[in-house]
Amino acid sequence: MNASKVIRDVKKNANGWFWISLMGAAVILLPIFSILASLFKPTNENWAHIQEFLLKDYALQTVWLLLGTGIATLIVGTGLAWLVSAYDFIGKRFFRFAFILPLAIPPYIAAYTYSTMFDYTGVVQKTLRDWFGYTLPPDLIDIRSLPGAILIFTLFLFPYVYMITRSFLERQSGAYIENARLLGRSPAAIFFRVVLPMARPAIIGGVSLVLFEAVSDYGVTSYFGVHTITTAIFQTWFGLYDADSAVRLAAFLMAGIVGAFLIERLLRARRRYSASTSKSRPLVQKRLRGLGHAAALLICGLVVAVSFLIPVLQLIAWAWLTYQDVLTAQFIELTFNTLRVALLATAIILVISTTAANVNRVQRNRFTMILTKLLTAGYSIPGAILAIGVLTLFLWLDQQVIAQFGTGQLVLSMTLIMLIVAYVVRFMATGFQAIEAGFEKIGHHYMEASRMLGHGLTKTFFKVDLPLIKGALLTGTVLTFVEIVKELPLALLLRPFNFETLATKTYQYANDEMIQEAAVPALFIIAVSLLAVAVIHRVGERTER
Amino acid sequence: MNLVQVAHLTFGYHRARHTLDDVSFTVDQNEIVGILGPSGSGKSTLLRLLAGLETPTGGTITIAGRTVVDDSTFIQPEHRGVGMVFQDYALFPHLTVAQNVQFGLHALSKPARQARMKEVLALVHLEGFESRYPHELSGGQQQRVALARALAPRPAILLMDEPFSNLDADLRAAIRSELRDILKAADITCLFVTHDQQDVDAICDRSITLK
Repeated sequence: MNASKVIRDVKKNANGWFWISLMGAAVILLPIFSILASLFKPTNENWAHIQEFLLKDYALQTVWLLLGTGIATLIVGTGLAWLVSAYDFIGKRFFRFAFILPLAIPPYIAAYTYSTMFDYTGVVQKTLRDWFGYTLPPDLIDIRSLPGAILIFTLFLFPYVYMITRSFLERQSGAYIENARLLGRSPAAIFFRVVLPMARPAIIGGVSLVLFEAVSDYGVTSYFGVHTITTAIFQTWFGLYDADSAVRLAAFLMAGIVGAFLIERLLRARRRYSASTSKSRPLVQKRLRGLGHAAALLICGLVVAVSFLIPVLQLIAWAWLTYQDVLTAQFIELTFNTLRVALLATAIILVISTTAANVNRVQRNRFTMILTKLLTAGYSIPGAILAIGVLTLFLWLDQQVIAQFGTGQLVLSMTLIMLIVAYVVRFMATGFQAIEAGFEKIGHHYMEASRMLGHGLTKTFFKVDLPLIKGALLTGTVLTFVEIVKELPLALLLRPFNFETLATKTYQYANDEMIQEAAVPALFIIAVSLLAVAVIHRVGERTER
Repeated sequence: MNLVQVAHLTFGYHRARHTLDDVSFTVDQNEIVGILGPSGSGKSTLLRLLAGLETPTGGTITIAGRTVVDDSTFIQPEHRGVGMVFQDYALFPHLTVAQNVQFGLHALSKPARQARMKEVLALVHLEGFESRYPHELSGGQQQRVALARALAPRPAILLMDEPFSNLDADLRAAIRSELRDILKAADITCLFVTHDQQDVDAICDRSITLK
């Protein structure tokens, strides 16, 4: 390639759309780099202490947590997906939808709810004592533990595995499973020898989503006293006041995540699991009878009860006791604050991700592909790590401002701008993926036709693309907005002084042992999240058709 | 006069396997030229290069005396004055027939736009369909709307990518002769991609075969 060609291609591609995407990518990359840069700084005396006494234990607990959660969500998620896609039974349509409801309950809220319910004064032990005169031996049920955390994550994150596996089974597997049936294999053999291996990429996708959520969680693990790397980051920061070591821990965790990503890519290599033909028949379902039918109903009912109905009913009962004290003018203000900040961050995310998705669609070269991959990198970074990255970046920026203008005070750090930037980095992927799916669905030809008729990129976007991706835009808005509303660690670390969101207020109440008060903001969050669940369900049904 | 000049045009992602390798030809004013070739021979790519929807790895294209692409020039598709009928027609589903046809007439005044829209719809025998939406039309009608839309801004050259591939066999024969009449009536230069020799025989003045 000679110089004049390079200049020609740069001129051809460098338009406003391109520069906006580049700026978006820079905003996202800077905090990530600021973390990785810390790896090259010299260590301080705390680090040796952390390494010797904390690191091994924390790393080990993290591994156990991920292993337990991974295996349990795998079993529950794929099992239920298989049940609703291969069999027919009473209420199946309801359960098919109800299994995604747990996504509306953030695990940290579930953790407070369940641990309080199982406390000495909680509804479980109280009922046993008052009605049956039976006192549980203390410590028999200790939900505030590693197994407890695994249980909570499993109950409220399994829908990720369930949804992806179900959609795979319902769309792709019909012919293979029927063949296996005709070859005389038993249902169990079919499940283990045909379904599981074929659904492997779908299952891995779902499980890795679950693991991301679990490793970046702070609410559940800190409440249950489980020591993960994420809680260690919080502890070194707020316990030891050692930001450098916290950042270093964050960098190690991030390196581990990047490593896991690469290994997964390598393992998958060139293998393909999806059928080569796009036309595939849905699976013919088997009607369940007798004992099997009863067992299926029992299992489904139990899952919906523990992963949605019981905690929600308990929260409603608590909220009923406290709503008069909690719903003050101040609370309404904080609700509006949350919604305002979430809306603003969502708007920024959608503008950047629409721009970048459009650039990638029009130019489709290696550079824009890397650009969009980087743009969505924020989602794989646990909130706590990202918070530290954003904070170090803003402190550095402030230092530059002070050096330049000598104002002597922090202008940017600990402002709402910082929190919004963090949200944008973390949830860009949610918006981007929705928009990209929308663009993919309409294809290139409308855009190309418009350009052949003499309209530039921008005019084409507003006259042709925008009306056609309205649905995807709405989906992206709702999903991103809800993610931000329920986000905890970022808000906890980066909110300005005296600024509360619904999530931090819930956390604060719960940590002050005011669980019944926490129920009110928690129910707000669940109500907003149900909106996202409805959208996810609707989008899923549409692509299934 | 040569309206279109293509010289040493090369296109391909891998150096070893070029989709197009050193293609050169010219097209005269008001000629209808068919581009023949087996699938994978780069017929559609050639049209997309002329349209500016792809960038060649080498070679030059000149349209109406203006170099639209060479090693140091790239004119964006919207400034090339080229019209194109897509294989799937790409009629905007959210716009009516009238709005689709007027889409490329933004440089004209409103009455002039209306007049030109009526004119090209008459040319393709679709008077009275102005307020329909694309999904309310048959395949053959959709194709004629796409043709009208591409002709409306009076492009220097019209490109058609497999215009019959979405039509039934009997419809195909009927539309072939009609298309030639429309193109001749519109007084337009046309480059026409197909894999069917019969299309070329019925419509084109001559043909180019890609290997």
